[in-house]
Formats: sequence, structure tokens, C-alpha cells
Amino acid sequence: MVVSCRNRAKRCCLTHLSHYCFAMIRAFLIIKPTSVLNAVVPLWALGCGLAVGLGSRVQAAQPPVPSQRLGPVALAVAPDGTKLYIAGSTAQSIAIFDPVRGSIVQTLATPGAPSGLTLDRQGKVLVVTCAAPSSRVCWIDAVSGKTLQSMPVGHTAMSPVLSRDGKTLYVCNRFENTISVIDVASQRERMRLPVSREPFAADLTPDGKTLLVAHHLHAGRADADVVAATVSIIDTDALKVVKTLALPNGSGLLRGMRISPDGKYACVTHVLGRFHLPTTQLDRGWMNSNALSIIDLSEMKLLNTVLLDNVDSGAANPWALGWTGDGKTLAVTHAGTHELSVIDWPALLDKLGKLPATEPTTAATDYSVSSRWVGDVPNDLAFMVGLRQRIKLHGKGPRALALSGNRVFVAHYFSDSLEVVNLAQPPLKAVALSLGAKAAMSVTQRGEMLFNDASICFQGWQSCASCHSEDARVDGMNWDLLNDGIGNPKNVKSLLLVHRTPPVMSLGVRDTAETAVRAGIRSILFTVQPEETAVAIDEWLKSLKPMPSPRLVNGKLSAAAKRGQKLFNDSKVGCARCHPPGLFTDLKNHDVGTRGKFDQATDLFDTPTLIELWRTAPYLHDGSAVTVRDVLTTANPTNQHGDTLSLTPPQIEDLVDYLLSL
Amino acid sequence: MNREPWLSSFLLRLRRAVKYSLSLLLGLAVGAVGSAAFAAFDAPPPTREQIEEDWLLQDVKRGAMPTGQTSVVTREEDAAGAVDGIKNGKWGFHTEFEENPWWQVDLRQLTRIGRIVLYNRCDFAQRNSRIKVSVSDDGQSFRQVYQHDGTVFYGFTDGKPLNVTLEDVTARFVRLSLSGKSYFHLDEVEVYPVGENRNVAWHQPATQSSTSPWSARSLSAPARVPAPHPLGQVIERGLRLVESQRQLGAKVEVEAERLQQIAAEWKQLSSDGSDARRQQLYLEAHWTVRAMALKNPLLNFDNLLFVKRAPAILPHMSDQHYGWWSRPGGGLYVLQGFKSNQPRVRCLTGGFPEGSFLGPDLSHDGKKVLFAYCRYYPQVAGMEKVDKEKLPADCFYKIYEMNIDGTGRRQLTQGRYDDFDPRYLPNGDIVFLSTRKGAAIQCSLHNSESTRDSTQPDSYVRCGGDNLRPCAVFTLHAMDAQGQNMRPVSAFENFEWTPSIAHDGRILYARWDYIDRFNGHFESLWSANQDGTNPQLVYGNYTVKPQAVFEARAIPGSSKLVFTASAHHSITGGSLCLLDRAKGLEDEAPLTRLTPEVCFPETEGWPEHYYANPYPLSEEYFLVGWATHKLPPHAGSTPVSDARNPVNAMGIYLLDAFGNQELLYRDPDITSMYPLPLAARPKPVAHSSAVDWQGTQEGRFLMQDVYEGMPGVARGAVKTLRIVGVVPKVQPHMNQPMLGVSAEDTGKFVLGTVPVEADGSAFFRVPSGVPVFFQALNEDGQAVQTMRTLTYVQPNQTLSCIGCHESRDRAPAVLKFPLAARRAPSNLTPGPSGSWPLRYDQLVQPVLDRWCVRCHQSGGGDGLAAKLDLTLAQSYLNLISFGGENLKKAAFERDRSLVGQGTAGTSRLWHLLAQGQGHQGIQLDAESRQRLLTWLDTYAQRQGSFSDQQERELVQWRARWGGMLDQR
Repeated sequence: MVVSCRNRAKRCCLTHLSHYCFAMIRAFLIIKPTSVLNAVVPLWALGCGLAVGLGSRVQAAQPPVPSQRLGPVALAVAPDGTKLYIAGSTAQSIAIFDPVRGSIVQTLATPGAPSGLTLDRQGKVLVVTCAAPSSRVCWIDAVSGKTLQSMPVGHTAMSPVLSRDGKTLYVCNRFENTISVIDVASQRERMRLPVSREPFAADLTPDGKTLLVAHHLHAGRADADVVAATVSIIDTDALKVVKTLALPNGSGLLRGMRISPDGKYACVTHVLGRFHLPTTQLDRGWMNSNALSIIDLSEMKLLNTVLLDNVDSGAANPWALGWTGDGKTLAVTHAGTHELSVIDWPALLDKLGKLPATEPTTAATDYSVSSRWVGDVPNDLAFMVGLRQRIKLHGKGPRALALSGNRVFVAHYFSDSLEVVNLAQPPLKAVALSLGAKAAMSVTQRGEMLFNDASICFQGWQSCASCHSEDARVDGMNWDLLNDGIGNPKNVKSLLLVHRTPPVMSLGVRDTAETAVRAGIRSILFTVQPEETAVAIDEWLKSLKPMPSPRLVNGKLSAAAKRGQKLFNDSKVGCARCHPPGLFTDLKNHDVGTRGKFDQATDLFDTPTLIELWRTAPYLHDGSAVTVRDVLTTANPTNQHGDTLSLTPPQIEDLVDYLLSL
Repeated sequence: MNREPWLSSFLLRLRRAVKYSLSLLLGLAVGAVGSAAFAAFDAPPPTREQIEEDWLLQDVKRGAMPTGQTSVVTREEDAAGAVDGIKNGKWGFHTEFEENPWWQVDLRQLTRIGRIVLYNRCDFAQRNSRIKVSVSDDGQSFRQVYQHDGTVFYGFTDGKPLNVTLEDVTARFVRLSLSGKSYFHLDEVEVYPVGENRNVAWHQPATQSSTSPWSARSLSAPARVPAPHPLGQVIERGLRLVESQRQLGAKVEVEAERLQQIAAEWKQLSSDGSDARRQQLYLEAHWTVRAMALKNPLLNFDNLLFVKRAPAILPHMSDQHYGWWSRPGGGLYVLQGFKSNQPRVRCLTGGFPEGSFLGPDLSHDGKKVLFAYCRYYPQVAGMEKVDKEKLPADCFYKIYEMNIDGTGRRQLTQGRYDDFDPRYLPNGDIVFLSTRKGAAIQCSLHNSESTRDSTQPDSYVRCGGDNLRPCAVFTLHAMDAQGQNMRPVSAFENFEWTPSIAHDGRILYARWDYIDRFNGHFESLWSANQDGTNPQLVYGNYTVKPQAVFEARAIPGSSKLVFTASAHHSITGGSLCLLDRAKGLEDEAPLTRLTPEVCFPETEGWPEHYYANPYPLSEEYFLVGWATHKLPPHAGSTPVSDARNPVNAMGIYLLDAFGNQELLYRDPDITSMYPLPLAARPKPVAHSSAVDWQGTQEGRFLMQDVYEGMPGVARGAVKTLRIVGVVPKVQPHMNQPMLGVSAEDTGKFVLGTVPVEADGSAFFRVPSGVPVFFQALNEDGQAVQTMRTLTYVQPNQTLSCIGCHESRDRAPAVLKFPLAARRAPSNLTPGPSGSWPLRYDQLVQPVLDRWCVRCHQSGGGDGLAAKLDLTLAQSYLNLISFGGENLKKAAFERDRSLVGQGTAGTSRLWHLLAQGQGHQGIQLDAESRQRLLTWLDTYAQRQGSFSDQQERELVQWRARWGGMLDQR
């Protein structure tokens, strides 16, 4: 017995050592290409003139180069708790961690950046999604580490969900707005089910009959009274969406979703933006609050939405979540404030269940109670008091979580670290587990971390990523920032290419992105930070590469898009006049007849780049157009925004196809 | 040390025994035991003897009161306050508002009573002008022997108590009462038998008809001398410390084992066993615990900064900060090597002329110290102080900074203002308390800067003061590290206290939120951003116990705060509490009492010893000041004697949440306080600021939804908001001038009204730096809800709020874009003539002259109408007394505003005029209605200004702010 243990230990050491050598060699090999890539950046910084010289298109993202840093985004734990599988998106590998030995025992390279993973019930097979424009899903032998099978799925696959019997696999294709339904035995994709915008997280009821999908962003107008992302409920027999649950007004950036072990409830983590209000302050969740929505699966309806913040301390960017096996404890990570919420689940249900369903009519106000009825709950910053413990974590960016018995494991995307909280040992605290030596963070990586870091924000209410999402794009909401006066909310703009397309903001009120980054730290995070913080954020934003459009066919324009490209460049239609190929903006303000109901006395709006237009809906500065087609048709009645009136419907479709391919 | 005789002898006996056993135990030389041994405090750092004596003293003092939360005050405990010998012009007892309230004393034997002497509560003296005296032999049936004639009497302030001389009255019980519905309160009652000069009521059992929120425990629990050597307690507390220290990673195995051994031996000792051995074990357990306490890894510094000072001679939450009440002595000191066996004390402030030092703060890198100092002049306390030019400039506290070795000293502030409690802000600036806001109607950088080279007049508290004791208001100010750029962080009308900087960068401070409500209780905890924007309640808007939430500090590694539950009528000190704001913002729910053996002073009783100056190391460990003397109660404008207000009551200690308390330093001659670790500490986050101090002195308010927090008010019912500005009191004299129904009304003027949109939103301009409150008005212009607090904006700030009286635990609801935000901010529409400045004679009298005076004057109308004279000379008094003084009661001193209970809405006068066909068929025109409603809802005052000059200034400001006003 003793001997065999020793042997195993020795073998593992060797494996580890060889992995280390391999990593060293690999790191050495990639130095050169990386520095060449970096050399491009200063050229870009020279401005628009040169950008045109770079070709007709801004350089699209290259397949990312594996890095020494792991970048954990997902965790799975073996049924017996002896192994942790860590999806390392930066390293493009799966690290297998032994909690007893406290070290990584094996590393498995994956074909692309792993975005999600799941284990079958026996813990024998690990299913990994590798996100890319053409994603792959891999089946890996959890013991030997051998890749058993692999098959293509859609654009940016994530959140794999395996049925209990292991026969069916569901995968979210985030940027394709579809769910791949895969028959595991035959390795055949039975269907690609269309769903709403950006399916980001999914889970299956224990009986396998219902699949719930959380959508990262809403799919409507942003200038409406109600703007909220949804959860799709899918009947897995009929394979169709049978119900769409709207979360409370302001819900966005849905990240995590799990169904309780008893199959009675689902919980979704998300941001709850108070987007109707001018952004004068942050106190008491004035801009963004951070929420957990609870879905009652017996009635397939939203039970309620509780805030995870406290009255003077935000709990920004709730992300991963999970229950203990007994269903007594729900754990939620806060990727913005680097915390873990440990929630007494039965007590939470009990408290919610005791509230009256209708508003009491009494005239007296009890100032010690904030929630007098169920309708008060989504605004109650004290609701979780006594039901939840907030535990400070040591790492940065806890995006992944797994539970095993009484242990909650958390992996940090930025600090490349792992922690465990033992729920059986109060007072609860996080203990760091070593993932081994790690490479120092580059300025760019630091910038990405700071962009996502709410601990630099006043009271931790939000980070830059609370409106721009983790990759500096959009939340689809309108916000009434004070930089252009009060009362004229504007749709959040993607920050891709923002340093190359000055001026910044819809009215161009900031001369450069550098100015805007510093103004954001000051006026959105309400904090004073050293210049290095802004510089790092600048550097990361400058390093962002466009994501290839899901409309491209084998990376190329479709036939329709090519026809659309001709129309786009046709001087009679006039698109390219203000959106010249290259950056697709002339960097000027124009009156294209888009002044909306909230705008104050101006008709001139900044010309945005059209690159990645496919993922920045809704459109126009006020988010009043749901689709690009709307922009070209209903939103251009006076033909000021290009001559689109003279285009036939098929021509419009071609033009749309082109625009959504950029 | 001041000690009661019984305590001294008790300690002496103990010490003799202890010293003997100790010397055997430790093999130390036995010193002479006698009175000389009591001079052990003379040695600068604590000696072994001093430490041991302190434990014994703690057993007596801390064990003397019941532990656990103090229960409800009984009628007997409150009633005892009128026979306790304390006369200060305040209330000794206080009943509820009820029918025929009474108070009585039991003389415990039939007594031939010669006279009864009554000392009144001087700020509400008129209530007792028809007081009745009854007597009884059995406490059951009473017979009235006297009723007062209606003249107002005082006692404490004028030295003329009411002397009721009785003839031929023999009784055991004396009862005092009022007729009708009222509160009942008196300062002191004395009963003298015929021919005797001996007050036989003193400390006799008393009771009363009811208790009220103002009732306090005047009857001390009988001092219980603990069993000698409560060894069980020492061990139990010590073992809890062991657990905690293990969690912190300290190596305490040796101490833990020793405590277990002591516990084991103690159990073996038979109850009649050796007392000497018990004493030995007691001391050894204490020394073991102390060794462990000082090993605490959180004590990762070797030196402490602290202050020696004599507390102010006038013990009151406000007066204690004026240099003119200071007593001399002390300075800033460093206690070096405080954990070692041989700590040393070093003075940092040699070379200062004799004076007083206050509230230090260390820079975040631990290298510099800020403090306040004033020079002591013996004659100043007795001088009239209103004309500040007659006082020496350096008798006011001024802010200084120096390096922690005492070098590089520089004075940062100048002039005849008290500047104190400086705190380093994260951006390097300094926030501090100062009287510099003065009488300014609009606070601005300009005003503050002007105080740097001139003596500007002060503003004063509304409920007290005279020429000898002016109570100048001090509020938060800030300046840069050089003392330049002085600016008002706060525009609040009343006092603010004890600032500190929370982890999130907010300034925590206490503020006397005493706006058209009772002056006693509401020294609650507030916060503001570093530039003074967003002043908001943290804890205790309505909370009575604790009374003053002082010295709040953020706890390292925790979201909780620690504070001193302090008294209104004393120096800062009381019971220490943890506050978990997440658990609520009123009363006991969010509190954890760290020193439950000390009641919350004044509203729960007067403790025999008290704590102050908590500096948290964690939620469980604190550096504190502990005073072995009763918290000295305030006595009006009279300095309190050294005997009652000793100069040396406090020493500095390490206290933990388990009850262990270790002496770190005590000077027998002078109080030692404000312990601070002499070390670097994390710098809180700097908050960005959009305040433009040099720009237009204007800001904006944006209200999301006025109906949020107004249950029962139908949507659409509120049409406008009235914005009322509040002006500072410029007279130092209590009750002068009487602005309205009370001596404590705030000065007011109506800035105007602004529209409320259909969705309940409002967006409007206001002058910055002007304290304002809002009233929600219905279609008729009548207030349906009003604010009894103040807010303000800084230049260029837009301050948003959710609604009226919304829950302070709520995030704003997500409804719609507020309609008001879609347009430019509203201008203010000024109120009717006579509302700015506010003058009854110009606002209301013209209405009376037009509609009423024809009948309501002598010779006019029928007899009844003529009796209610509404000509200018009489109308004010007649109107506010109309309907059984209904208006007086409606307009004054409610602690909270309730929906629909505005002054006009509950006034019989308005009811009479507005109902049905109107009084005598008179239908008031719209203008007249507006005038009356404006007057009633702004608390029916006679005037809104404290002086003619202030009134003129208000007229000038109206012209200056013309751009913000829609002209009528």
C-alpha cells in the first residue's frame, strides 16, 4: 500500500517536471512571434492615416498564442473530491489539481482556449468546450488525460451541459445565438437550436426535460422603459424554447446559472443596472447593483431577485455559483470585488416566502424594514443580512467555482490562483492553494485586471466591466452620464479600437480615449487612482483585436455580403463616405437625422466604427434601433443616413449581411 | 486618584494581602506597606504594583454594575432624579405626555412640612406655572395644599426656586402634579420640615405617573462589591483570549497550560480554603493573561502615541471643545516599548506654553502628527466671551503638525476660532472641526478663506448659552497640507463632532440633527464624501439610546465600526459599541455592546465609570481610555468642580471583546487618553471630486420619485416641493430672540417652490452651501410631508435622492427616465411676500387685515369675535394659542414627520378657515391661502431671522441669487 503511494507520487512528480520543461521550452519559442506582434501596436498608435495603409480591414484576432499564465475560467471537481479540473483559457490547457497534495499533477493541452468544462456523473469523462469562431468540444478521459473524441460546434462555445445519463450534451454557441444539441453516442449534432442573444450559461433539470439558458445581453431597444436580459426555457423533447423569462428591469450581463440539487429552483447571477438615473453618485447602488435572480421551476416563473450588495458596500460582478450537494448552501463568486458569498439557501427561501405578495396599504413606515412585500426585494440592500456571509478572497477575478462536500473551490482568472473555503469550519475563511510559480503580469494583463476590478471603485459597486462586460464591449444599456449634461442617455459603446477612433463618446465630448479612461475612473468609479492604472487600462484596450463575425463563411465574406460590400462602397449609397473602409469611421460628427427623444439640442453625433457591428446591438447613439436593418430602414426615414431609400429589400439584406460581417 | 473611602480601605486590605503573597511567590523584596505604597502611580510607566492595583480596581468598578443590557428605566429610577441633589436647570425626571401627570416623594414618616422648594426645568419653565402640590398620609388619598398662580419660575438659572410655604401640614407623601394633558418635569424638589434647614426629601423613594423617552436612571444600582478575587472570571476571560489568540496565530501554549493548571487548582481549593493561595492564583492568572494579551500579533508596533490632558472644566458635548473652558497641563506623549517590562514615556510637546491639547491624528505613513493646542489663561473662563476680540487669540484651539519625534513643528491655523480634531485625508488634505463657518448664510471657500485673516462672528446653538457661555457652532472644514485653501466641508447649521476616515474614504462624523425637533437625543452618526458632498445618515436618526454616537472609527479588516456611546450633558465618554450598519440603522439591532457593564450615559443612566477613545485593532481588540470616575454631569454655565470632574480620571488600556482589560499607562496627576499605534496604516481610498469651489456657487438636486417613502399618498397628489433655507443663530443667548412657538426654532426663509413632475421627479437649482429642507406640497400648496433634517450641495454638485423619507437601505427602483431630468433644472419660484425673509407681520397680517380684523378687534363684530384680537399687536399670540394651543403643539418638537401631519394639515385654525363654506362664509382668495399655508407649514413662526442684520443679508442674498429665481 505504502509502496504504491510512493510510486504514484514519483510518477506525478515526473509528469509535473516534464510539463514544466515543456512550458519553459514553449515560452522560449513564442518570445519572437510575440514581440513581432507587439511591434505592430506602436504603428497603430500613429493614427488613422496609417491604419488605412494596413489594408482594407483592421487586423482580425489571430488564434491566441498559448501563454505561461493559466487564466482559469471554469472548474470541475471529481465526484470523490480528489481531483480538480481547471480550464486555463490563457494557457489553452486543462490543469488537473490534486487538493491533497496541493499541486497541479497533470496538464492537458486543448485545441483552443477552454471556455467551459463538465464531468460525467461517474467522473470518468471530462467534456471541454474550446471557444473560437469555429469552436470544438472535446471528450477527455478524466483518468488518463487522453482526448477521446472531438467535434466542431458553433462560434465561441461555452457552458457545456451533460444530461445525467450522459447521452446528450448541450453547448451554448455564444456569438451564434444557438444551442448545439449533441447526441454523445453517435457524436452527431442533432440540432443547432436558435435562441436569444448571447447564450452564456445553461443548466439542465435533474429529469433532463428542461434546459435553461441565460442570455448575457438583452435583445431589444435600449431607449425603452423596460430593458432586461432573459432566460430561455427549452423543452428538451420538443427542442424548442417554450418560455422566455424576463428578469427585472435593468438586468444585464448574466454570467452564471445553476439549478438546485432538488431541481426546484434555478439561480442566475447578473448585474442590475439602475440605468434610468443620471450617474450622479454610486451610493446605495445608484448605478449598478449586483443580483441573484431565483426562478421557481415548478411554475417556471421568476420567484424574485435579491441584491448581493450591502448598503455601503457593493459586491460587483457576481459570476459563478453552485450549491452544496445537500442543497443547504449556495455559493456565489464576485469577480469584481474578489469575494465569495455563502448563502443559507433554505433561510433565503423562507424569508422570501413570508413576504406579502401585495403592497401593504398602511400609512406608517417602519424605517427598520426595507422589504415590506415581494416588490421591494429587488431594491433592498439589507435583504441578505443574516442569510449570507461575504468572504474576502486573496486572489483576483474569481470566475470559476466548484463544490465538493463542504468545500468550495474558487479559481481566479487574473491572479492565476486557487482557494478553498471549508464550510464546516467557522469562522469561514479562504485558504490559498498553490498553483505553482507563475509568470509576472504584463502591463496589458494588468490593464485587463483593472478594467474588471471593482475593488478600486468607491465602495466596490462596479468596475469598467460592469457596463462594458469583461472584454470591453457593451451591456446594451443606455446610461445618462454627466459628461454631456443630464437627461440624454446614450447607449454604451464598445471600446474596441477606441484609442484609434477619437474623439470619444457619442457626442465626441472626450478628445481621446486616454482622456475618457481617466474620466471614467474619476466620474464612474468615483475614485482617484495612480496614473499607472489608467495607462495599463489604455494598453489593454489598445491590444484588443476584433472578433471574426459569425456571418463569415470560412473566414471570408459570404456571397451576399460581397454584394453588400459593393453597395456599401457605392458612392450613390454613400456609406463609405463617413464610414471609409479601414476603421470604418471618418472620426467626425455628422447629422444623419438620428436625433432621438432624449437628445438635447444637437443633431451631430460621432461616427462610430462599424467593426464588430454584429455584436454591439442595439444601434445608434441612443440604442433606439434593435437591428442594423432598422438602422437602414425605419431609422432612416429622411434618407440622411446614406441613400438607403433607393435600395430594394434584397439589396438591404445584402448590405445588412456585409455590415454584420465586419 | 480620587477614591471613595470604603474603596480605599478595601483596596488597602487587598493590597496588603496580595503584596505579601506575591513577594513569597515571586521572591521579590517586600516593600514597606502603607500609605507610601499608594504613590505607586508616581512612576511614569505602569509598575507591577500599579498594574495589580488596577486589576483590583477594575473588579470593584466594572463588577459593580450588572452586566448585560440595561433594562427599561422604571418610574422610580427616573423619579429619583428630582431628589438626587443635582440642580442644573435640566429635567431631573420626565413623564410621558398624558392627562394629569404627577410625581411624588415618600418622606418615610409623617413630617410637619414647613416649605417645599421647587427647581424648574429652565428651558420649558412655563409648563409648570400652574403646578399643584398635594399631600397624603398613606400614599392613597391626597389633599391639595397649594396651586401656583401662573407666574413662571426658574431656580437654577436665576437662583430663585419656587418656595411654597405651608402651614399646619403634616404628611408622609408629597405629590406634585399638573392639570390637563402635558409632559411633567422638574429639576429638583426639596422638602423642609417646619423650623429645620434639612432637606428631608433627599434620596427618599420617589415615583411618578409614567416614564418617557427622556426618562433616565437616576437611581444607581446599589454598588455591589464583588467577591474578592473573582478568579473564575479571570480564567474564563483568559481562556477565551487563548482561543482568539490561537486564531490569530499567536503562540500561547505556555499561557494556556498555566491557566488550565490554575483553574484545576482553584477547583481543588475548598471554599473555606486558604484565602492567601486564592489571592496568589488570582494574581498569577492575571499576569498570565496579561503576558498573553501583550503577545497579540495585532500589536505589531512598539510605541503608542497618546495625549495627557485635563478634560474641559465645563463638561458638555459642545463646550468641551472650546479653548476658554480648558484646564492646563499635559501634552502629546509617546509610550515607548509599551509591551516590554520597562516602557518609557517621552513628551513631544516641550516648549509649548502651559495649555491644553486635543484629538491627535497620525499620518498614514506614521511619520507626522496633527493635533490641536490652546494656551491656558486662568482669567478667560470667567470672562464674557461673545466679543472675541477681547480674548487672547491663542486661547482658542489651533491646529499644529509636527514630526513624530517632535521636530518640524508648525502651526497650520490662526485666528479667534476653535480648530480641532484634524484628520489626514487620503489626498493629503486635512479635514477638521472649526467654528469658522460662523454666521455665513451661504458657506463657501470665500467665507472660510476670509477667516484666515479676520475675526468673523460665530453662530450659536439655539437651546442654550449666555455671555459667559456662548456656544459657538463648529462644523467640518478642510484645508490643504499648508493650511491654505480653507473650505467648508459641511454647510450644516448645527454642531458636528469627532471625524474619522472610513475604509471607503468617507468622512464619518456625528451631527446634532436637531432641526425643528427635540434637542436632546439626536447626536447621530453621519457620513460625507471627502469634499463634503452627499451628507447622509449612517446610524441613529431616531435612536434615543445611545444618545451621542461619538468617536466612530472603521475597524481594520471589517465592515463594522466602533464608537463611544456618549452623553449630551457631559464630556465625551461612555460605553463602547460595535456598529454593523448592514444590520440596520436604528436602535439596538445593529449594535454589539463591548462594555455592557457601562450603560449608555444620560438616556440609560449615569455610569460610575466610563470608556472613550476606542482605537480598533480588530473587531475584538481595542486601545481605549478608561476612566474610574463617574461621568461628570453638566451644570449649565457653571464650571464643574475638580471633585466631580477630575483632571485625572482616565488611563489608557488594551481592551478585548472578552472583558480582559490591561493597563498600559496611567498618570496619577492627569488624564491620559487618545491612544494611537505609532505606526504606518493603510491609506483609505481617495474619492474623486467634481466640486468646483471657485465656480458658480450653485448646485442641483434631482429627486427620482417623491412618492417613494410616502405610503398612503396617491400618485399625482404632490405638485410642488417647497425649499426652505435655514439660517444660523447669530445671538448667543438662550431663548433670544423667540422666533416662534419655541426658543429653539431654526431660522428660516422660503427659497421657493419647484414643480414635481407627474412621475414624482423633481430637478432644481439651489445655492450651494446653504442648508435646506424640503416639503412636499399638494394641489392646495399644503405640506403632506416635511423634512426635519437638513441637506445641502457643494458648488457644481448634482445630488440625487430617491424620494421623501425613503428607506435608507434601498437602492433606487428602476422605473422610467425621470421626467424632470429631461429638462433643464427648475428655477425656484419664490413664495408669497413675507416668506423671504420670513416675517409674520408681512406674510400673515395682511391676510388678517383684509379678511378678519373687521370683526376681530376690540369694538368690532360680536363680543366673541372682538375678544380674539387679530390686529398686529395681538394677532400672533392669539393665533398660535387658538384652539387650546393646538398650533403650538402642532408646530413644535416632534421627533419625526409623518405623512399628512404637517402643521397646516393638523391645525384647527386652518380647519376652521378652509372647511366647507369657510369661517363666517369667508372664502379666502388663493394668495391669502398661500400666505397662511406657507406660514403654518413653516412652523408658524413670528420671524425667520435672528437679527435685523441677518434679515438685511437675506434680502441681499435674494438679489444675488436672482438668476436662480423665477420672479413672481
